[in-house]
Amino acid sequence: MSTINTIKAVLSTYIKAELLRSKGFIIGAFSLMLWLIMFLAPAVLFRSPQTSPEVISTYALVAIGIFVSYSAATWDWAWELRWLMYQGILEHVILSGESVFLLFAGILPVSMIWLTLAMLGSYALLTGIIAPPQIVVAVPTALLTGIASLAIVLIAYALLLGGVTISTGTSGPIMELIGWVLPIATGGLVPLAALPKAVQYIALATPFSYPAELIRYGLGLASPVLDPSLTTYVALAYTTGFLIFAVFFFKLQLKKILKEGVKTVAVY
Amino acid sequence: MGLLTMLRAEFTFVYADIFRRKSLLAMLMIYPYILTLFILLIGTSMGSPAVFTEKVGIDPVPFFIVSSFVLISVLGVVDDVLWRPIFDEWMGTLSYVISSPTSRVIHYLAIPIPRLSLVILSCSASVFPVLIYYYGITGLFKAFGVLGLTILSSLLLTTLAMVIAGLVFTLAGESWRILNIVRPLLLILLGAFYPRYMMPLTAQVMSWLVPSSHTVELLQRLLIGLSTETTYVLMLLGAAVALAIVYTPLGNKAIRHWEKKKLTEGVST
Repeated sequence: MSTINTIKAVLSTYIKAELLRSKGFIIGAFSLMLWLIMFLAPAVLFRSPQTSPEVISTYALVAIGIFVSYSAATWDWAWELRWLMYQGILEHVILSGESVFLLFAGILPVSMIWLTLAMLGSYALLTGIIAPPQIVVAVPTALLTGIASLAIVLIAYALLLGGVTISTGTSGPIMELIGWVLPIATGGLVPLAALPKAVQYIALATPFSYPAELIRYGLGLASPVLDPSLTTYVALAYTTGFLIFAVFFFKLQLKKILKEGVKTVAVY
Repeated sequence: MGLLTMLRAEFTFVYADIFRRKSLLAMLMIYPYILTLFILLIGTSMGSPAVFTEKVGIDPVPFFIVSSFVLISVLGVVDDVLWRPIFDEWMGTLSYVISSPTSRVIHYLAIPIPRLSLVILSCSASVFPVLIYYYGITGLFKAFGVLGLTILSSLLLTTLAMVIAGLVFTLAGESWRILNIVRPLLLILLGAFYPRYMMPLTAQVMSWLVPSSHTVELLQRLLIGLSTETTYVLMLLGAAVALAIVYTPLGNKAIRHWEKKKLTEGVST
């Protein structure tokens, strides 16, 4: 099977399983909206009448966008490997001789559909309960670099987490913890400048903080704690380095399971 | 097999699981902090904690640590009633469960009880330190109140969970997708994160049908220090218990319906 055909086959399978079977798309969209309402409704109680509601909505939309991106990387990509192990499919994927990365290429568009749906839903919800978010591109290069480096860092993060999962059988609760803590502790939800100094240093030591800082700067919401051009260079260099390391690490873990066998894991 | 034997089996199962997967135990204790931090940060990006205090009448930190704890506890205790048939189907054990002589109703009533001890553990790691830090000795008493009412809230939700599980699995099969709608809806209507008395009327009316929403309102009133008449306290407690009792025969019937359906149609593998 050619590479393109493999990706097409994976994509078609996931679209049927995730979006079409048992009205997955409609039910999933409804469920997503309910979870968003649950977390957004109490956050609205913080809203100050003095601050522009449009600005508040935009801040919230960016925070949600970054959080759901991390969720996609954790659950759609890293968790998928655990699911494949649980179902006993990972061995077959490896034995087929096709690269595991092709699997991700097929899953990616489905993730993007969910991500877009989450963002549109959040936009509609924020419009309903506060005001329409104002998307103004203030610094286009910063925004583009921010989005690109976020994508890179998320792929690297998913490979690292997925790599650890296939070699050690990382438990579900640990993955859940990482998926929550990472965007919170690295300035994904609020600008780094609003966090305590100690957290700022920790966040800057990781590659995760730079994309979020650039996206907010690009949308004219907040300035990064470091100089914007320095943030851009560090974002590109650090996230690319992180991705190279993650690919190397993931391949190493794949080799490891070829020697030791695939771990037996419970569903959760 | 009676309730006591079932309870012993469930206790063994829960503790074996917890000791085997210590990460789960750690999560139970850490989760209230993570959820609190998450809402605080999203909230701070929208405004300020001072505005929250002005609107709700309490600092957001103790409010959300208690809300998050209530949410985790209710989920920890009741979720297994909702998920067990699905897990059994995935593992291929559903046919054995259905064909065993044990009453499914007794089984589902026994599921939440061993998990209550984990609620105590989670409360002592989250609610107690935060409330004592904020309110001193009064915080200690408040924390005991929160613990008691949370245990009650979790238990009172069991029968409604049985109704939901029975109905969902009878009508839609062992569908995790439908559960993913029911769970957040139930949690919203519980009013832990967004107080029930601040909800729109339609949501309030729907919330009144959830037994534990009454005890959660009581818990929030205790926490915020709202002056509440004894008759209102008794009314909330009475409504919660009465609803839980009303749902018992319905839950029994719903579970038996599902069981009958499985016996007629067989178990999918």
